[in-house]
This record gives sequence, structure tokens and C-alpha cells, in this order.
Amino acid sequence: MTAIIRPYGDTAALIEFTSDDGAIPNAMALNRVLRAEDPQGIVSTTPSYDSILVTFDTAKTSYSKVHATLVALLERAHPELNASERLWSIPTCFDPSFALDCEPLQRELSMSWDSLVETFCQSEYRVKAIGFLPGFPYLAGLADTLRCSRMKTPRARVPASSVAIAGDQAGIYPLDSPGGWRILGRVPIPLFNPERQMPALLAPNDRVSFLPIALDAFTELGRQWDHGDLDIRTWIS
Amino acid sequence: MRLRFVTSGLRTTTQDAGRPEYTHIGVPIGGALDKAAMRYANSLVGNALQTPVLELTMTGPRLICESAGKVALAGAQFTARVNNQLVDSRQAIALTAGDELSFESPTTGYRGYLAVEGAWQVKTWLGSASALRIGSYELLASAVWRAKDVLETRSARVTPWPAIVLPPTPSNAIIRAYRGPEYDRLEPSAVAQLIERPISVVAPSNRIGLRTNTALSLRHSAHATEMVSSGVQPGTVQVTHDGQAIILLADAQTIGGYPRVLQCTSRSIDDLAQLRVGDQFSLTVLDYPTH
Repeated sequence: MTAIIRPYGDTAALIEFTSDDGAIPNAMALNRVLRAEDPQGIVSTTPSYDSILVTFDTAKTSYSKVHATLVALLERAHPELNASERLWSIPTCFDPSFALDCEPLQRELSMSWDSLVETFCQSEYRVKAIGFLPGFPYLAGLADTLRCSRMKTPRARVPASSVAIAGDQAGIYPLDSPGGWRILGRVPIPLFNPERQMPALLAPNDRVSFLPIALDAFTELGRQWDHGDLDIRTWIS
Repeated sequence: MRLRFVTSGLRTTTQDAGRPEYTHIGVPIGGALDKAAMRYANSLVGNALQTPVLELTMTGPRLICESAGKVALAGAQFTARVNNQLVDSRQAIALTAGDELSFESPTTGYRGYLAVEGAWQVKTWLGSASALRIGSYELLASAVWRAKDVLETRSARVTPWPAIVLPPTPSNAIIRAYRGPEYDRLEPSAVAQLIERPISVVAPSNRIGLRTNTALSLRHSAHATEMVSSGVQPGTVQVTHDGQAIILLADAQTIGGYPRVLQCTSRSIDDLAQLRVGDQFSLTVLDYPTH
């Protein structure tokens, strides 16, 4: 795999993958080994699409040692292992009361709401990065027929747990926030919950699919979550 | 010791070394903006250097001491008074029950760091006591201090060899930086405007980043018009689509899609904490050491 490793300030290295089609899987594979190995002196790893930012503690290591470690780990980063990452099946309600862009999306994509939802739920998505907000997953894998524009003027407030699409990506808003992506549904639980030990539901490289549910099932799952009765591990296969 | 807040000041928060280990799930690193000042203040009261501190912003709080102990102030030069009498705030201040500690806004600098002797009895989240505001959310609300709140510390095990920390020597007029991953996107005219010439901090600037009075021309990327988002750090100088250089600080998001033209040194990041809107500084570029 083709990777460029270079310093980025005095406490970080940036690894960028350059091959056209394999760049993102290669980056994800390296991230996987990096997190498993947890090399001495490395403080954080921030994967995002075709790059990984690695920061280090200069009291414990140096740029040249980190560089050597990364070169060694690249040998062991096999993209085919990405296929074994956990697969989430996330119950999602596409009721028009949550789908704030129900009407404009049908117009722009010339599709009925039912076929739009069906197309959206047929794809398997992959978390390429988490950012913008804590726990916001950038999901690749959107069907070409669902590519759509962002709003010209972003909404001042997108409700937390809204499922959204823009361009060729999908995402889920973890918190109420301003946002310009097109909203098509809602997840019954928070994507980011500061009370949990690992507060973000999703992690980079996770596989994600959406399972359509009706409004009453949405309400029931939300109630179970509030009472601590919902075991979301059952959403993973 | 125990301190009761009579007034909170403009924004007084608990800060420590932050949460550097959660950037992969999009949590900003956070923590004290001026970490050298945090460490120095802690050393003056005999605390471990990463013990939380109060980060004061321009207007300090008024505090009543309810049980005795030492405090120390570093960072911006707030004038400190105990029971209205001026005290030397560049060394530990011993307070006894009933004393009132107050501050006047600093003549230079922007953020002060008040160390309080002992082990802090405060809530933590993801291993840090630091306040973190995302939009309108306070992710650790108890780390934002309000009138009537009480800060309590318990006596900590005494460090047998207390750390000796030299007082920081801020040089916030000159910020040192390395070339960032997209340095080559700067047109020669942009290099001339950004580097070695005074630039000013403009509003809105906050713990997320400092905006500057710049309008820089960028070369179009050879690969695509839009950059794929990639990791950013505190101290990254980004250039937005309209040419403004923004220097990211501790509460910035973890990935970004703007060209990262420079990366400030760890030491200079501390100095950035002390810049106010209207202040001038200049950026100077260092070469990476050869490896």
C-alpha cells in the first residue's frame, strides 16, 4: 500500500494513503492495528477517510520512533480484515413527523417516500470518520440514486438522533445542532451519551445498516432506553 | 481547603490536561489553554502538575475561603486582593477561613490559572475534569462555576520532591509554527501576508479558535476542489474558503476540511491562550528537525 508519513507539528505524525481506490480501506486497516497494538508513547489516533493523525508524548517517544513504528505496522495492516468489523442494524423511524425533508427529497430525487426509504435501508454503510460533533458518523455507501444537495441555508436546529443525507454520504446527528444535511428519519436512542463509558455509539470503520420501524416501535424503544431496559448489543451482528 | 464563589467572573471553568484519547470519536481534546501556566500555578501550591485549575477569563471570580489553604495564580496578570489588600499573586497565597479573594482584570493577557492546594473533589468525564461546551451543550456542567458554588479539595499525599517549574515567559507577540500538511496551498502573496508580519485577532474568537484579519489566496488543490476531511489539532492554522486564517485551540473539532497551512509549536499554543480580540502577533515558520 502507498502511504506518506510526515511530521505535523512537534507532537504529531500524519499518515496519508494515496492509491485511488484502496486509500480508505488501507487507512482503516492501519487504524485497526494501531488501536490493537497501542504503541508506547502514542496518545491519540484520529482516522478520517484516507488519513490518520497520530499524536505522541515527546517525554515517552519521538517522531523518528513513531515513524519507524508506523512503517512496521503498515506491513501488518491488511484491508481484507475490515470485512470483520462489527455490523450494526440500527432501528430507524422514517415517519414524516421526523423526516423534515420528506417533501423536498421526493421532489429532488423524483422518488416516492416508500421507495426512497427502501433504497436507503438496502445499503450497508461504513463509518469513514467521526467528527464535526462528538459521535457524528460520516457514513459512506449511499446509493447513487439518493445523492442529493445540501440545504442552501442550514437549519438552525436539527434534532438529536436525526438520520441525514447530503452529497454521497449519510450521517446521524448526535446532538441538537445547526445543520444543512437532508433529514429523513430518526433513531430512538442518543448517538452520543456522556453518561456511558464509551459515549459514542459508533466507532470508525463500523458497518451500519438501517432497519425501518414504525412510530409506535420507535416510541417503545425510546421508553425502554429511558428505563435502562434496552440492550443495544443485540443491534450488533 | 474550601472556596465559595460569591461571583463567578466572566467565565470561570475547571480545566486540566483535557481528553486527548477520545479524538477518534470526535471529542475535542479541551483542557487548560495555557498549560504552562497551569503547571506553574500547580507547582507553587505543591500540587501534581496536572491537577485541575480554575481558568479565569478576563474577569475573575470573587471567592470566600471557608477552610484554610494555599492558592496561586499564573497566566494573565490579574491583580489579586485578599480582603481588599493587594497581594503578590506571583507566589502562593495563604488563605484562612473568612478571607475574601478577588481579582482585577489583567493588564496583559486574557486567561488566568488559579491553582488550589490539594486533591480536587470534582466530577470528571472521560478522565478529565475540564469543562467542554459544544454549541449550547455543557458536557460537564459542574465544571462551569457559578455564584454560591463551593470548590472543595482534600489534602493530597505530599510529593516528596516537589516539581520545580520555571515561570513561563510568554512571548505571545511571536508565535512559532511548523509547516502544516497543506502549506504548499499558500500562494506566495499569502505567505507574505501570513508570515513574519503582524496580524490581528478578530471576533468571534474563543476556546475553539482565534480568527484573524487575513484574506489569503490559496492555490487550487491538484487533486480536487474540495479537501477530504482529515485530522486537525489545537494550534493548527486553517484557511477557510474566504481566505481567513483561523488558529484552532483546545476545544476545536477533531477533523476538518480546510487546508492546514501551519502547525504552531506546543510552546506557542500556550501563548495563543493569552491573545485577546484586537491583539497583534506574528507567525514565524520553523524547519522540521532532520530525522
